[in-house]
Order: sequence, then structure tokens, then C-alpha cells
Amino acid sequence: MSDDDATTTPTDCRERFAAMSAKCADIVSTSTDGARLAVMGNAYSFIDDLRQWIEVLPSDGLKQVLIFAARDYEFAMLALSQGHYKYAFAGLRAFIEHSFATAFFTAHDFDRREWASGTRDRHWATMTSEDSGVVSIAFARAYNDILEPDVKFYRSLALTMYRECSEYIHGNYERDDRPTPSLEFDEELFNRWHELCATSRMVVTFILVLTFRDQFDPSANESLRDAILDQLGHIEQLRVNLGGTGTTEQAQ
Amino acid sequence: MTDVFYYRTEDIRPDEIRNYYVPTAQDEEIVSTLRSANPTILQGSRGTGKSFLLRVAELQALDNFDTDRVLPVYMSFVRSSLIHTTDPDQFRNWMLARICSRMLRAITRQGLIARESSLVNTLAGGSAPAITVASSQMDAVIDAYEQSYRNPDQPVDTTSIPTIESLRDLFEDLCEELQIRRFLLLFDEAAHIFRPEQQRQFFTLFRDLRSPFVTCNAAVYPGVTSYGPTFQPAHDATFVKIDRNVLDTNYVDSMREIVEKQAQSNLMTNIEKRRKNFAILAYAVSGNPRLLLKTVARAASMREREVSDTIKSFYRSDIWAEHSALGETYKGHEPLIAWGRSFIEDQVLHATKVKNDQRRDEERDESTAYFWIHNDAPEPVKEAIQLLEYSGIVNRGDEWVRTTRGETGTRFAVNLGCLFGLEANPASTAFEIGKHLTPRRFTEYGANHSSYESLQFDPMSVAEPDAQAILRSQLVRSIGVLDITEFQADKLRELDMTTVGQVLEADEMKLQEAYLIGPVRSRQMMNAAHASVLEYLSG
Repeated sequence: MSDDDATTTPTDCRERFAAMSAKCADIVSTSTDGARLAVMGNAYSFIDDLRQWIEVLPSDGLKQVLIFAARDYEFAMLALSQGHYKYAFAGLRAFIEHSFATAFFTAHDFDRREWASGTRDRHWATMTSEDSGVVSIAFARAYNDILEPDVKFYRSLALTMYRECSEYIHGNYERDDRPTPSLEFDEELFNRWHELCATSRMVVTFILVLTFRDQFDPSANESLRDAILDQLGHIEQLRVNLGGTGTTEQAQ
Repeated sequence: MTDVFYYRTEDIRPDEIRNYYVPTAQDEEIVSTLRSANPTILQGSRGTGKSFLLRVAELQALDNFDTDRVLPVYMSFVRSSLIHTTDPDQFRNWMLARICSRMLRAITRQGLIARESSLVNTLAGGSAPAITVASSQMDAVIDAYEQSYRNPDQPVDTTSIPTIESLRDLFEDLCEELQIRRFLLLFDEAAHIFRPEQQRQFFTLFRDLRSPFVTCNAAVYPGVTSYGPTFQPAHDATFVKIDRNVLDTNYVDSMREIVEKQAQSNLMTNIEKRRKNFAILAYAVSGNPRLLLKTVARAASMREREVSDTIKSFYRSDIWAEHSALGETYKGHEPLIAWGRSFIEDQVLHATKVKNDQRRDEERDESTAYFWIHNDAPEPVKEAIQLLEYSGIVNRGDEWVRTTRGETGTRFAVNLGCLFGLEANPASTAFEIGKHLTPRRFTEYGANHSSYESLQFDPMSVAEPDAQAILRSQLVRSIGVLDITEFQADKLRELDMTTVGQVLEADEMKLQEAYLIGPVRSRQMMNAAHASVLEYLSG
């Protein structure tokens, strides 16, 4: 909040929070106004995709991790809608981490148990290790070798995206002329968050397909199949694997 | 958020080069050759990555110095275009001073000289402290030459510059004293276009420096480099050409990796989702990374419409701008430059498109971008083609290619982007052309083809250009001639820098205060502006 706001705010903290909440509500209106409503709706619909994945996961332990990821995603959207941009990027990054953890713990159940009991942290560097992480050649060969040609790219994309989220959290992005952060709608940050969110949806879907492809039958679960193709339909070998055509298709 | 690409190696910090390196098999082989004990001449058109590979070789040699004891010394001669004194040996003296300065810097940075050295005293004229005095003496000479364009009549004191013989001896003695196996000299921008006398002096020096203790390597442009009477290309160096062949199976993937090294996540996502459109841009650049980064920046969404528009605008006009600008600067060669453009646009591209259209109608999976010139074609024709090679409009392929009539000549490939630019909707048709290229199909231009008749050029009538006059005319030109982004150009205009000369003489600190963007971006922009000025002045 700016200094101007401080001179006019109520002294009671309840009223203070109520005033901020009212401002947040205004920002929500702006965030969902006009064309932005479709953008927000499209992003929000991904939570349904995550619910479908949760249902096909083979164990309660893994389900719980992906549920955390879904909550991070929803919270990130809430923070974005209300103008809390730093926390929106933080929530998005947490979503990515929990999603990767879901895949990682598939191959490392002991780690998952320790993490669930609070005795071990998950480490981004470990989960994305080039040699043994969830976007490594070795992992792809073990879980879903049709995606082996693409893991190198998706690893690079995941690292780039994660770094960009972190820059917004730690304030390292180069904006010398940005005003002092305050609670207001910011078009540029709104758009940038959605760009990163779109990329994260594609990367997370890739990780989940890479790890859990054998947990469902695409012909019996068309909804999940469509959700996957919505994100990754440009990968021909995956398209064929899910029962699609082998012609070269791409988003226009 | 828009991506900001490094178009030039000079814009990248040397220690960050490895972050952008894509180790294809061919590039690894080139770097290995550069690091070997054999002198190497690296040929490549503008923007193909010559400077970058020299820097990679330097980095790898530094990484392995403790075991190999081969000390790299990288130096660029891009500023030689600023030398304008009355001294007939100015270029040679400047080169010797540059070599000494860079060598001192290399051994100092490696921590090899922590005490006064009697050898370095030689360069300092016997006074101490040796390192700083020697360095400053050489730098003073270099600076005097590079500022000479302001006062051409002012003589430069060259008494501190060693002879080639004493420099060669110095290398040997330094190797012995510092336990260096050999020095690896990496000369960049060594041979500027239309300066044959400078080129000859450089290659004489290149040859004369050769010893077991010094390996010389140089990056040059194809087609426009003179080696002089004493340098024998077949014997005095290994020639290596940068040739990212579009026919290679991994071509598109490796070009994609080059972009991804610099791309933000949203561009990476766009490229991933519209792979075919990216492949079109990759094919269009015919192996030139700088062109790829530029065209990708223009078509960042990778949507069909944007890709088509970019190909049409860039390859119908922009790519020709630099080539045509050579004719404006070097009037004596203007007939060659103009004819070359006309030959490609009116003859080669037209004939090639007709062939490709016909094969498409016949549903044959074959396309071409190749043409063949008879070995006995007139010399001016060959010279015009060489200038097109320099500009990257054509790539030289195999020589001594025999046609069905038994005649021999050289096969060339025209830039694919120029070919795609002729399509009504490149995004719809270009991919198939690129994917089905075959060098077996080419248009032939015999020894006396009718298209040669319009070229009237007598090379004997063209004197070596008046470099000083040309430099003066270049310095007053608008910054619009520089190869910088529109954003960078706008920022320069805001600071009342509207001519090439003003940018050249700009004070960097002042500019960094004036820019309203962060220090990293402002430094990059200033470096880019300076580099583009020097590149423009060097032709």
C-alpha cells in the first residue's frame, strides 16, 4: 500500500483489511473484464484437467501430491485475480514444483514418504537432473519412450520457465521505471503471468503423460485424452499413440 | 515479453559464450581444428558464427590450459578501418602492436607473470614496472592509430613496436620461460572487404609468424579475400568452411537449439507448438544463425501469417539492403554488385521457382535451390558471385561438378529465404521445398550464357578505394544504415545521436546514465551500437 493510503486508512485492522478486500474485489472485476474473462476461464479450466489426472494416479500418496499442485494453481489464480502478482508467480512456481514432485515420487517412494513426514525437502535441481530427473532420457526410456526425443527440450523449457517465475518473485526482472509496488491491476504482469501459466500447463501435461501414460486407456477416457491433446497435440508420435492421425498438424 | 537476442558475438561476455554454444558435430570439428597445431583459415559469410567459434576455441583452450599448456590469444581487427595515417606501414605496425598488447593481456590474465620478466622488459624498452609500462606503450600506439582518422597527418611513434623477427623470438622465449607449449593466435575480422593491400599484409604476417611456438588462425569472408604473393593457401593453412547444411538430418533441430539458448519460455512454447513454421524460418536462413535470430524476433508468435509476412519482407528487400549498400560505398564495384543482384533475382530465382512449381504440380518430392556456373565463365561474373557469397545471398557448394554434357563448373545454392519470398504464402508451401531439397537438380549457366552480356566491368580499371574518403562519407551517414533494432535506434535518436560518427564517439558512461532501462540492457545496447558501427565501417 502507498503512503497516501496509510494517511487515510482506518485505524482498526479489521476495517483496514476490509478496505483492502474491497480493493481486491475491484481488481478481480478488472481481471475478469471483457476479453480477460476468457483468458482467465481458459486457465481455470485446467484445474478440471488436473482432477482427471488425480483420478488415474495409482496411489493415494501420489494423488495427495498432485492435489497440492492443483491447490497451488488455484491459489495462484486467486492471487492473480486480486492483483497480488508476486504471490501469483510464487503460486505458479509451487504448482510446477508439486507437479514435478508427483512424477519424481513415482520413482522415489521412499523420498515421498520422508517428504510427507516432513523430514525431507523436495529439490528442484534433483527433480530436473539431466541424468536421473523426471525430464531425463533415462526416465523417458523407463516410463514412456515415445517422448524420449522431446525430453531435452521440455527440460530446457521447464528450467527456463522456473527461472522466469523466480525472477518475478525475487524482483530481479529489469524494470527500472516500475512504480513502487502497490495493490492495483497491472496489465503487463497479468499478461506475463498468463504466458508463463500457459507454458506451465504444457510442461506439466508433458510430465504427467511421460510418467502416467500407462495408467489410463485413451479410448475409455476421452476427456483426459482431449485434455492432453489440447496441450500436446503438436507432438505427432503422442497424437498417434493416443489414437489420433499421423499427419503433420500444428497450431496456427 | 519480447526476447532480446544477442546478434553478435561481441555482445556476449566471453565467459558466457559457453551458455550459447550448440555443439553440433561440424562445429565441434571446426573448434578442434582451430585448437590444433595447424594454421587454420575459417571461412564464413556474415552472421554464420565465425567469431563465435573462435571464442569457443579460446574458451576450450583456456579450460584445458593446465594440461595442454596452449595459451589462446583472441584479437579482432575490426577497428583497422579507422587507421588513416601517411605511414605506408601503418597497418602492419598496428597489427604488431595489437598482437603484443593482446599477448601481454593473455599471459597476465592467466597469472603467468607475477613478477618482472626480462622478456617483457624488451617491450617496455628496459624500464620498470615492465608489465604495465609495456601494455600502456602498446595501447598508446594502438589508440593513436585508431584515432588517426580524425588527424591523418599526425605521425604515430612506432619506436616501441618490435619487428616480426623479434616478436617471433619473443614468443619462443616466453614459451620457454613460462612453460607454455605454444601460443594460439585467433585473428578475427582479419580481412576487410575491398582492402586487398591490408589483406595481403595480414597474410604475409600470418605466414611470417608461423613457428613451433605460435599457431595462427584467422576468420575471413569467402570470396573477397586476397592472400598475396607469399601466402600459399594450399600449403600455409588448412581451410575450413562454416557450412550448416540444410540437407543435414539434424539441421532444423540444431538451429532450434541455437534460438532456445537465448529464448524466453513463451517463445520456446510458440516454437514447440508451431514446429513447422519454425522449420520454415530455419530453412530460410540457409544455415545463418544471425539471420535466424533476426527473423524469429520478427515472427515471435510463429503464426502462419507472421511467418509469411516476415519471409516476404525480409527476403525480398532487407537481405538485399546490405549487399546493395556495398555498391553505394564502393562505387568502382557497383556494376558487379548491381549485376549480381539482377542475375540472382531475375535469372536464378525465377528459373528455380519455375522448376519447383513444375515438380509440385507433378507431385514429385523434389525441389532445388541450386545453380551451376561454368568454370570458364567470365571473371567478372565469378567476382560478382563472390560478392554474393560474402553477403550470404549464395553459398558455394562443390567445385568441379560435371554436367550431363561433360562440362565442369561450381555448384552454388541460393539463399532459401530469397526463394521462399517468391511464394504467395510461404508458410503454406516453403516447408515442402526445404524438406525435399536435392543438389542433384540445378540450373546450369554455361561459359557464355546470355545473362552475362549485360555485365560490363573491367577490374583493371578499378583502383583500390580511397579508404579515407570512404570513411569520411560513412561517418556522416544516418544511423539508419546500422544493423541495430528499431528500439536501439530510437534510443540513440533520443540522445541526439543520429549519425554513424556520433555513435562511434559516444561516451559509454554518459549513455548508461541517460538510458531509462537497466544497466545490463543499456550496456548491451551500447556494445551492439558500437559493434554495428565497426561492422559497417569494415564493410
